[in-house]
Amino acid sequence: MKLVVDWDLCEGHGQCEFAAPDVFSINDNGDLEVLEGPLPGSELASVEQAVRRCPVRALKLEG
Amino acid sequence: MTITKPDSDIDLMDLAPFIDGTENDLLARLRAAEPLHWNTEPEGPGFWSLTRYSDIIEVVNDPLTFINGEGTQILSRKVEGGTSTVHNTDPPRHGKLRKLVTPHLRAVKISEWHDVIAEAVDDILDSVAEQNEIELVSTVSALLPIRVLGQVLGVPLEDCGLLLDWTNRVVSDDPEFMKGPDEKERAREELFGYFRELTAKRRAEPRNDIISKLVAAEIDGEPLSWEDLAAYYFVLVGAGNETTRNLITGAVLAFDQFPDQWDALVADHSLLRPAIEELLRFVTPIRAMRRTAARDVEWQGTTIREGDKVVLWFQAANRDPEIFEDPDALRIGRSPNDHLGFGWGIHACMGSHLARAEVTTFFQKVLERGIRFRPLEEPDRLHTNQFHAFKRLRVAVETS
Ligand code: HEM
Ligand code: SF4
Repeated sequence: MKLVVDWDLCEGHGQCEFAAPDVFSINDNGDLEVLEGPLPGSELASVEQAVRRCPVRALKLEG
Repeated sequence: MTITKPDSDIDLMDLAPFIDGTENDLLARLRAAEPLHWNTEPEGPGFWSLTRYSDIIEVVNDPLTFINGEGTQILSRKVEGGTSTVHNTDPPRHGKLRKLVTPHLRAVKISEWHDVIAEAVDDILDSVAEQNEIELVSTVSALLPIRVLGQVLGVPLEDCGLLLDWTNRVVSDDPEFMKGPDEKERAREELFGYFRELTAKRRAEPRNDIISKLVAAEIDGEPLSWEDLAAYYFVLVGAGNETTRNLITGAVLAFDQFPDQWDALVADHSLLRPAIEELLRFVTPIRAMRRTAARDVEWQGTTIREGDKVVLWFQAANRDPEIFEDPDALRIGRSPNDHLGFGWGIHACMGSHLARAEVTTFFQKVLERGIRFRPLEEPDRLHTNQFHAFKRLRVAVETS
């Protein structure tokens, strides 16, 4: 599973950070930062929730 | 303007069901029989109502067609006054305004306010713990949000009481808070006068609060005008105060209706996080928000005309059986739970992390102290269809 962020859509709402704080964080400029590298399997459920939570549909799981 | 509009006997401007608490039946009837419903208004052009989850998601995901700039209240007036707030601004300016504040309200930043929240909750619970019976709204629910939000904004603790009084008078439409016709205007002037002084103080000596961040902020190289700043403070206080208050009162009522769910929480405090999401769904403090069609739209065989008001009933979506199994039951472990309690799309709540932190800390401490609030009578509800709001609720305070 690969996490894809549509950076044109992301508005830094941070709902993803609430759902999966170990994967997503918003920096002090309000921009999203995502954990680098492959997604640990243990994070899958919370990342799925983040995908659904994102109000602008900027997140996708592929593969 | 619009030519064919189906009529129906359901009138969402009739406040009776919203006052006696039977509005969910009404909304369910509408969702099943007439998901796009035209409602007349005694003094206004009338409005469309949407009650299905999928329809509401479609509208909020199309913010260029369904805009906020013409107002977000069902009635055609802007409570916010002349200057547009982040809430009734449309893209592209909306995103720029939003980004000035969201970094400071995100989950990790809110954890810095943990001590302020915990102290507020402890003070409030200390003050009621020894009593057998209390009026919950005025002694508990109303005190926590304004005290926390005030401090996050930059209002000193000792002034948070003043803030509460002003906001009751400015935001509310209930005649009870209105001592005269000019009351709202006077309260608004007092509130803005206070914020004007505070703004000058924070400009001179910035702190770690939202007012300090906003006075230093720029959009396209320009600092915000006083009107923009005032509108921002006003929308934060207006949006963050009563909503959180009503979630607390609504939660106490919900647990009274489903006592086994409270027992489950007592047995396992780790259910608190999903429980808060379920309460947001079940209570839905903001029942509805309005958009305005920016062009003619074909919608399920009907034309929504440019300029028509379109009201999104989040409360009806939150009980849509297509999305939520057994929607009228409170199930604290519900998962997934993609409720619309905080809305959805580009205008989704900016204060969601703060609100969750407040309400979670509140119930965490209620559980730790072994307190159980038991409503003694039907609540006294505010006379409004747009907000799920409680004026008064007498409860017994039981401690185990
Ligand atoms: C339980 C408490 C709360 C609930 C249920 C709630 C609910 C909502 C909802 C449903 C919306 C969407 C409005 C729309 O689509 O037109 C919204 C927007 C908003 N909320 Fe909240 N809210 C809560 C607490 C807060 C707090 C604590 C703050 C401030 C720190 C806040 C600030 C805002 C702002 C500024 C907006 C407008 C955002 C925009 O238009 O981009 N809310 N809220
Ligand atoms: S929730 Fe969506 S918009 Fe918000 S920061 Fe995450 S990806 Fe970006």
